Amino acid sequence: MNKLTIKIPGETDYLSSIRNFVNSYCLKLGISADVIGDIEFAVDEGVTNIIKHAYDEDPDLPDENRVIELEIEQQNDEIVVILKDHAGPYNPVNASLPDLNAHVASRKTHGLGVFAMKKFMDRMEHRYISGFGNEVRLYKKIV
Amino acid sequence: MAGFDAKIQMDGDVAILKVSGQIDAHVAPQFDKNLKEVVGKSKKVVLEVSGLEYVATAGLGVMMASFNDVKSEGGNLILVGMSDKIKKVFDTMGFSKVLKIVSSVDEAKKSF
Repeated sequence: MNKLTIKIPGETDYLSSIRNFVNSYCLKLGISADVIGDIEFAVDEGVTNIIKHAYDEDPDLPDENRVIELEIEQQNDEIVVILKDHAGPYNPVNASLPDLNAHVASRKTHGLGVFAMKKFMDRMEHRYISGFGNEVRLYKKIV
Repeated sequence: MAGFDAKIQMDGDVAILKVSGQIDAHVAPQFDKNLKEVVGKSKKVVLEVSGLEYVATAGLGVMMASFNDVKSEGGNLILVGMSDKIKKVFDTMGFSKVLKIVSSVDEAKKSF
């Protein structure tokens, strides 16, 4: 199936649209519900991270840059999801993972997004494109 | 927008919050408000999740915050009726080790 692209405003109202978009693409490929659930979860967390951390924490970012572009494509036996933002450099691949017990005790209600992306996908790549923003690639084997 | 619904009911001294639909980062603040209202009624809290179709880590964080609150006052927050899809998220993220998950409200009531 061809690559599909969706562009959304960087607002949490649009998270369900992103999940629906990813789910319908994967369903058409006949991917198992279990694997679709993994991809849906990781993509939702990736997009949430961009909105909550990159965009919401940067009041100086122009409104026209507060958008997120998502591409999804099957490449051989993998689904590849590319998330593009216009934020400053942030590499989630290098982010340290929280100690869950400490996280629970700390009463934090956020901060598990990158952990979730790493746990539910097979691998993740990041590059920062100067003058554009971040590009995160999420890979998941579908067979 | 993802559908989300929450209903509160009391069963003796146990407060039950029945949630359905999807809890993502957009819905998490509403879910937090609902859960805090329940915790305000009792420290014996049942979270009935049989109708829950999706939960993001923002929703897990909300559960964990209220779990910490009731635990610090000698209570508990017990989850009931979790689907396999949601259970996978709990297991993978390590939350099953911390939060008690049972199959019925009666079972939860016996666990307090």
